[in-house]
Amino acid sequence: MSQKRTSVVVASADRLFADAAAAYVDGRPGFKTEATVFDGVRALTVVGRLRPQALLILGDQLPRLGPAPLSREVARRWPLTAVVILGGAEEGLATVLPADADGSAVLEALGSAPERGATEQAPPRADGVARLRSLTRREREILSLLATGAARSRIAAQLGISEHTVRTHMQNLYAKLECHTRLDVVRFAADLGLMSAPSSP
Amino acid sequence: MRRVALDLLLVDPQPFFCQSLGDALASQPNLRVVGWTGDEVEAERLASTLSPDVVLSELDLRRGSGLGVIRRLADRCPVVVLTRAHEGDVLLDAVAAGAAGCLSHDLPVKELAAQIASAARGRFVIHQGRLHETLKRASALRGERIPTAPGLPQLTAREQEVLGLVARGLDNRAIAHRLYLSPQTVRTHVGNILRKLGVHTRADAARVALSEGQGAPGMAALHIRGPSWGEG
Repeated sequence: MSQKRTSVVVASADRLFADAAAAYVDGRPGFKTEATVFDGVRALTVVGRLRPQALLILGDQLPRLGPAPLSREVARRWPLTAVVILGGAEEGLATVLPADADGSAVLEALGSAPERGATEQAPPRADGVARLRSLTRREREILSLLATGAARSRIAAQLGISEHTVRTHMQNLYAKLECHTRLDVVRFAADLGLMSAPSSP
Repeated sequence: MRRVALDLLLVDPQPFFCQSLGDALASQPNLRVVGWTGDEVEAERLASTLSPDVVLSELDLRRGSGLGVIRRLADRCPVVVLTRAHEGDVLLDAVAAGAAGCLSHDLPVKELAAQIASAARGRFVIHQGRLHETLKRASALRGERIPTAPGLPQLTAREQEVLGLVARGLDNRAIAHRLYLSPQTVRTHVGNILRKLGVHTRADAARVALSEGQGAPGMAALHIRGPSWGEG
């Protein structure tokens, strides 16, 4: 069931920026702003209800639930919702853009061309299984941890290896799965049913 | 009654904010954004070629400062501060530089549009609903100890004071005024601060100051910065 337009929820403590960005995204062909929220708990509720394809967080602060825990929660509960943070710290599964990224970079991260979004969300299943088979045991372990939203440091601690080693494994993993971002990896895992299903609406 | 559209120039360090606000304001009657930049000198150049009716400027810019923008442009057209900080924390500096208003990001687009129209008619604009709070903060700042950077022991006490003000988005002239120094002295202090912290821009120095946890109130502007700011 592919949607023609990428649905987006905008969250920011900056009221004016949130309002304006919502209008900007909504005015772009292929995009639709579903809601604008000004705090993290509200963002979680709204994402759960609307299941947008992307959550755009502006800035590195949100009242009640910050961008980092919010994006982890969204990734855990609704892995098909892409999280994009503009001007925040590196965070697990989210795509983090520098604060001076422009509109086209933001749209690109939100999943610009709908076709691209569609292929990312539904890769041919057989192909996906073949790619999964190409992973080593260690890479599969890391894949399952990545899918939970664990940061690189946590994966390293959990597996008792150095962060640098995790990084190397991740590079190989990304190459084998033909993924470019953590989000791609999570979608891949979700499409193959490797993750616990998101709670039903 | 039809009015000619007001032309706006936006001065803000975040391109996506400028583009978004440009779009959002375009949907308001009689407003259009004719240009945007995050650079003080570029703002002056754009103002002379585009002749905007109103300029909206953040105080902390990618290069230069919003107070500089106000001084350069205030006698051409109304320059309204539009800041991520609390407007009370920057009000007096903005007014001293010649601003035609002082607004924060804590308002919806529609209300901003109304304030812009008001500024174009020559009124000083400020959020009426928060006026008391704004004035309280502004007056509290007058007698306040200057915010300092105590977490940076390599700096002298004076340098910590200067850094605190740099982090608040003030330019050298405003810092000089605040500390009763000459702008040249402030320049020297800032140069020494940058050297001691091993950074190249004021924005970087401000970030160091903030990451040491000494952020003065009203510095939300800096919290949104990603790691890639600097001379670009």
